Amino acid sequence: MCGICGFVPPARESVPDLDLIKRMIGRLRHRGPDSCGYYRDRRAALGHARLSIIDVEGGAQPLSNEDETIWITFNGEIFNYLELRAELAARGHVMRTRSDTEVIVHAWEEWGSGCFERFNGQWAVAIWDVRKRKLILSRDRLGIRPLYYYTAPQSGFLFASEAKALFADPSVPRGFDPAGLAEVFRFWCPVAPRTVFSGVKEVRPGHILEFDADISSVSEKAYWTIDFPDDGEYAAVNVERECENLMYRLKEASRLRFTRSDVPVGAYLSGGLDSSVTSAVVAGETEAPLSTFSLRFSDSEFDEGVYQYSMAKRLGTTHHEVLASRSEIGAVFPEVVRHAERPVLRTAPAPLFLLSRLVRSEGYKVVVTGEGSDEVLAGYDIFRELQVRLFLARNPQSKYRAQVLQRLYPWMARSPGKAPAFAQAFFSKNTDPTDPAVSHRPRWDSTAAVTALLEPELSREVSAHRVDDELVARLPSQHKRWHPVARAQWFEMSTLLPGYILSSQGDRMLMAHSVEGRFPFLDHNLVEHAGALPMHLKLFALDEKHLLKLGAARLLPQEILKRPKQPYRAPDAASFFGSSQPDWVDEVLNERSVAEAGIFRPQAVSKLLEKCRRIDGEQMSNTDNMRFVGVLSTMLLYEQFINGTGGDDTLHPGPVTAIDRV
Amino acid sequence: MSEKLRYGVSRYISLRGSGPYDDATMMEAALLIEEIADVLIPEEQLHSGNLGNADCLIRFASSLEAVG
Repeated sequence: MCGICGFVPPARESVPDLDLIKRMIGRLRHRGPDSCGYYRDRRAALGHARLSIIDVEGGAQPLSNEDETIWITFNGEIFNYLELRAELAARGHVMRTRSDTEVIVHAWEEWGSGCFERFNGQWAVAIWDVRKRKLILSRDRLGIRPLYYYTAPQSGFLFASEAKALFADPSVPRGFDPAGLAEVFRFWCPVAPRTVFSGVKEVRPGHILEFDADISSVSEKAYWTIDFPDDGEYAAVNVERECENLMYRLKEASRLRFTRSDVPVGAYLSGGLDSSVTSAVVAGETEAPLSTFSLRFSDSEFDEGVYQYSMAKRLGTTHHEVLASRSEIGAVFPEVVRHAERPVLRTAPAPLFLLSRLVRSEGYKVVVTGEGSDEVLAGYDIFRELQVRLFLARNPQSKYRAQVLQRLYPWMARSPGKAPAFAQAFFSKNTDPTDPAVSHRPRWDSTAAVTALLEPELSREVSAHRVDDELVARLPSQHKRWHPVARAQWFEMSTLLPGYILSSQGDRMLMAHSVEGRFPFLDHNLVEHAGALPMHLKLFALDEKHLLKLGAARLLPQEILKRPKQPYRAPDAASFFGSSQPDWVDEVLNERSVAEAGIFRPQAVSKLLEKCRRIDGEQMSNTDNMRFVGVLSTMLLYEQFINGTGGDDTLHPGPVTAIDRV
Repeated sequence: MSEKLRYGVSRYISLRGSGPYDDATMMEAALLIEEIADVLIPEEQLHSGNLGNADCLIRFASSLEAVG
């Protein structure tokens, strides 16, 4: 795990600016504090901030092939690098290091762009072909590692792990893209290639992008896509055998992610099913006690400590925990937004920022987590909700059907079971079964409530972008033959997973403290296997992750297996009011600041702020919580990236590998 | 009862127990049966006499061809 960056200047400039690549690396130093390096020739510059995990002594970057015609800067891990290394050695490739980075260089030489299909891992990589004067960027299949770029005639082509490094070049404009905001206030996050910053793009997961420096053109192609089988007959299957197959793949994915490291690996333990399974599996891979890390909340509504203790005790782990209080969530929120580089609609990333800080302070650089299981194995409430809504829609006049709503969101203070008439009306809307996005319309419509606070002109621009239609148009043509829940999985895996779960709650919060996350459930072998399973093995009636629960029965205690699913949440507006109110909230949200930013209507924000103050952010509706956190994070982002410069230009403090061919 | 319905119902019973089922569980069973058998269960059939426990559920599923 590292930070990468680089650029190809406009053709008219003869030499890449060395100071610029150093500034870009400096802005990524939190991603790689151990050392840094750059390569420069007359046409391109590559930069690297290193977090040393594999081949700690020999893996400095940028790194080249034998004749120095191919250079690479790489962030991530190729977990099957030992197997690929043996295959490449058998084909005559000679390697100087033990690193997975060098394997990529030789794999590129051997197989060209086909090499990425052979990788099992999580990566963002840039390869500079000196002879062809082409820069190739690639990103892992599901978007675990981030990679941004900007191109314009006056700037050439720039890329970096985070947008703040692109802004080290003053020729890169800093402004919000209304279409990016439209996606955030609809899907919760921008969808690559779009970002919230005008002109800044993100390489799409599972894609390869090529910049031809001779003609300044960009082309991209997919090397992997999410797919599901045709929705077949409800078939009898051998459940035992399917359990074994799934658990075999999960164990193999976990083993690779736990053992392929030259530094110790810990595990996140939330107390839920997924991280309990991954912790149990990796605990079996080590003789020494596994180190587990958990988040506790001072608000009992969100706390899962009892389950975490139970699992840690069962596994005999060395257990660490951090308590996330409202005041701490409020205090770190500006830093959280600076790292996330997009508005967030909930404070949930903030406790994860505190958790990665704990991991780092305990001397760990790598953790295995349970992320991805809910998307891949149909664990989210939105999948259950879809089944329920379609059940209601089959007979809207029914007096009995709505009783099944009691099965939805039992953890919510205003759960459907407690307000049945409202719930029936709400969940019976937008249930056209021919609508490909039928699963997600209610969530998208609820999220759009934030746009009611936008300045009229920006509001018009935002609503002019038909982002729903754009997203639906991206569905592969075969989607009509998929199970409706599979379509919902596609939406989750194409939007929220890369744009929020793996980013705002994932990479960005982990790398804020130089910690690498590894995700066994997102091993592509497991993802493809799970995708091909009959839907009733994933979501059986309303029992989510059905097959995983069956498979995990030997690993986990009943209290974890049988506990109702509790989504990860944190106190939202309440983190910024009452005794925990940080001083800066009024500064950021006062009418003058809001008016100057020109994003939200000052009076509407003041009214919302007043409402929050009056009740100390307590007992607020989901919509008001989302509005408040959305406005606050957008304003913080504005102050830091649009009004400010997006980061300081302090040079990387670590040892430097300098390769200057100019 | 068709093989796929027998298979689904028996697995449902192993998941939710033999009953008696509460209202939400009955409707979940109805949801499952409709998905498997691709039928619409008439309103008057959605009651505890048909769906209220494992025995009822098996009897109901067995008679479903007539309902469908």
